[in-house]
Amino acid sequence: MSGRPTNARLVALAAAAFALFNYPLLAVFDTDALVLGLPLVWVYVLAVWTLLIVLVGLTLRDR
Amino acid sequence: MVPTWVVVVVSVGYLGLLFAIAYAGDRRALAGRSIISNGAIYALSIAVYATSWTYYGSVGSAAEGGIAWLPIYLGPMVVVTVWWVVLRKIIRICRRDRITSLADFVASRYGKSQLLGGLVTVIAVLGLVPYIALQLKAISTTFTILRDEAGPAAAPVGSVPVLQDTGLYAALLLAAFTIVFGTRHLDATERHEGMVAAIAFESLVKLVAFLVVGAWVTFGLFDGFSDIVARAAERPELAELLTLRTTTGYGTFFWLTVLSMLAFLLLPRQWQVAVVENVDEQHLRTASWLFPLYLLLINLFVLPIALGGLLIFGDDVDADTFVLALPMADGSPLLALLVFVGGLSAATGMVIVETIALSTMVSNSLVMPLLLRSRGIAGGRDLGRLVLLVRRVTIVALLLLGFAYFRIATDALGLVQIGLISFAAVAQFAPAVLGGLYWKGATHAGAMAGLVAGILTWGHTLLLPSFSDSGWLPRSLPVEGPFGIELLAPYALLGLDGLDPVSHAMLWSMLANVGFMVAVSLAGGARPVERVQAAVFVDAMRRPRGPGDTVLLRGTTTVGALQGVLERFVGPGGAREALDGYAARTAADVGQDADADADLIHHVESLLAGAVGTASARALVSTVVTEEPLGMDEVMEILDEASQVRAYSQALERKSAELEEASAELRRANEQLQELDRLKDDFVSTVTHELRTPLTSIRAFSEILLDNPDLDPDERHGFLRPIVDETERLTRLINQVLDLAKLEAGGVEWHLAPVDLREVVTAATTASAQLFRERDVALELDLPTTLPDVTADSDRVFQVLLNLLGNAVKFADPERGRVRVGLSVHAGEVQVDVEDNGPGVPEAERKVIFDKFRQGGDTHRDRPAGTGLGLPISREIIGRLGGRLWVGERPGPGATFSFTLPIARTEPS
Repeated sequence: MSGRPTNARLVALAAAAFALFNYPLLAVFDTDALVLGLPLVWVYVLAVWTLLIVLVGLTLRDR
Repeated sequence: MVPTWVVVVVSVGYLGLLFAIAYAGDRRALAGRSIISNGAIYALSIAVYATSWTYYGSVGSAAEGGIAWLPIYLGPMVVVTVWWVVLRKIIRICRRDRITSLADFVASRYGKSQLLGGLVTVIAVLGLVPYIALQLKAISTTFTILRDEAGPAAAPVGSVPVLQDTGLYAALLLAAFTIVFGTRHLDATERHEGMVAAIAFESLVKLVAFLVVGAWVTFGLFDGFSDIVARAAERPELAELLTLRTTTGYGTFFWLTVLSMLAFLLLPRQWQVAVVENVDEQHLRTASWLFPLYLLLINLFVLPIALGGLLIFGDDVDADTFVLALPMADGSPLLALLVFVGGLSAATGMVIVETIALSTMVSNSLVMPLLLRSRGIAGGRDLGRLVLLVRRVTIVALLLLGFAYFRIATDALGLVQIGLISFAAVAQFAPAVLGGLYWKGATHAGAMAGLVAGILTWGHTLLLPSFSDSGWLPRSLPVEGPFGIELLAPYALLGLDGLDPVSHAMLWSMLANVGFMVAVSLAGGARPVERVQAAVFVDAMRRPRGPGDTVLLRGTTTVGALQGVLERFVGPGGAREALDGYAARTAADVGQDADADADLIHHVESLLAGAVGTASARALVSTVVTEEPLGMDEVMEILDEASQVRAYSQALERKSAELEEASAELRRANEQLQELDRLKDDFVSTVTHELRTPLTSIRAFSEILLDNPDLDPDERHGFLRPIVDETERLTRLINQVLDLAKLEAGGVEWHLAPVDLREVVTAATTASAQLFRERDVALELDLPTTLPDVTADSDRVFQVLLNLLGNAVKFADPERGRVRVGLSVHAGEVQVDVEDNGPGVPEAERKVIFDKFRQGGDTHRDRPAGTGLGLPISREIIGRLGGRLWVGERPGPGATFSFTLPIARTEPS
């Protein structure tokens, strides 16, 4: 029954993803500032996106 | 700029390539060497999510609202994280019940309801025809732009006559492709490997094409990302695209995320590739990170292209066409052609999969149930061909409908707007599907009410306004409301304004949908079949397929009748094969007149479900099965039992593992006990037998003496001698039995002390000297001059030695008998060898001579001289003293009995 913690982790990840992609966290990064010449909010979304892909991949990698 | 014939040749050539790939995929599947059976291909096929809406529309959307286009891809990212939880469950349910479409899923969950399946189908078709139209529009528009001498700026959509419109020919070609690879034969699983292979290939093409053009714009036309951003930041109207708050509200962002989450899960084409075409649920592991990575990549250059297009064209060119217009304007026809092919991939992929999925829904959930109601067709032969025909007609009809919609209605709407209307329509399935997946209380009536309420709200708040935009209804309608009733205004229902149309529609439709579904479900009851299906669906992950599944099918019919039904869909050969397969698995009787058991009925129903949908399959089977209705009480009993059993099953599983272990231990102990018991019985019977033999002779001799009182003293002595001997033997036997019993029970007192074995050997040989003389056996002592003491009980060792010497004498050569006793020292032990020159112990007897009452030699031929307890007792004694007693393994004449005793630890002095 090793599936249970995996499921819980994934659900938590989904909740985190939804929160990170929405108000108010999104608004925090929604400024005129540029990072490496790119809009902060854009960089933020791409970074979270990449992180999520990595975390999902790690959670579900074959054991 | 690009000659028409080139564009046509490239397009047709590309579609030809797709045909080839699909053909190869089907061939490989037939040969059992699936090319799509891996996680990467699975992820790529799911990327059919990225249509021409993504390919062209994202840029258009970004040009209007900055990163407002992103929620459409962030939603899927959120959903993908729980794929392993949610989608796996759906896949499992569908695989088990052979559910092949979304409509079938909903129908099956709510009691195999034809009505609900039909409703879902109608909503799906209604919602998705505009989406298909959108793809055709993209193909047609880009085709026109690509060949148009006048350049991208002047590309009025729909300005060409119908028969010259590329969209029409694209639609017809796609219909041909879909029919060939989507409806070739009627298959119980509805999987189309060739089609999936082609779709995966298309996903790759569109990604590569978009990345190439994106990189070209970013690094070719401009000097990297930051250059585009820096230049855009200088222009106020572009600078506001760099943040979210000025363009799109967070509320809109939220609702778009929710919308795309639901749509991603519930779009028929996503359902088709993710659920129906899934080969192995383990592929989800790879796809769960690979697919979001695909989405990330295909979105990487959207903002740069949008900003770049705006910087170069300003408002002169429709932003939806930037992707193509930029290479065209730059005079790069080859790149433009690549972009066009990428766009073609995006559009055709979506159209192919969507029409296959919809045609399955239309045929299985809409047309077949209607046809089956009319008696004439239900009785006809070969319904399988009819199903296929219905699907083919549906595919052509859908594409023509899409084309018509595109020609008539899409002028006024952007790609994204059309797409969102479709998304919002399929989002209405969410409460019924997700609710049904996790809430057992959701009922048929509830799902029905929710769907109807949701779709009506959708129609009023999104579809109706789109008609106004197209000019079919007054332009003022969305804001002022129908007949001037402001409370009913589609964009501000009940006066709720301040939201954009999509958020507004989602808010109200979801509220209505969920509200009605919950309220009606809680208000009313559910039929037995609904309750069973609810349990089957909600507990899908915990519940292996079992006899409980067939519990509601208490019908009677014959195998022949079922075969008749099956034949009409899969042909006589297929039907026979299916039944034989079943018989081989279950050993059931599948003769024509045999009674079909509940499992077989269920099996046939699920086979049919793959071909015509669960609801129709139920209806078909019930035409030949006389069902005995189950009472509500009975069903509840079964369900209660079932759910209790499930609740405990996990704990039970654990317990049963422990129990198994314990019982194995017990079994071992029991076997040992039984063996001991058997030994004891043997022992008792042997002892009594051994006692009887001397008693018999004592009695016989005594009777002779009693009957003949006048015997002379010599004769009398001859009879008395054996009596005394036998009595002695009896005494010895009884003593030894007692001795052994005491030894084994541990009731012997051991007087352990350092013992010099030489002394004991000498004493023992002296004691048995008489015996040696009687038998004329030579004794040879081989004693070392120094020997360490052993720890032992000298009396007991003496007893063992006597026994061994006795045996040696007994078995030594009768003519020139010789016995040797040797002492030697080995690692920490002193070894005593008693060697004779008799026949030796045969290999087969080496083990058994240490068993009680087993004596060496042929007991039938010569009368045994001993009691058969000497060696067992000796071995017991030596064992207790911490040594070993064994017989030498050497073959041939002469036996050597050896034992060891541990050397006494000398106290350090």
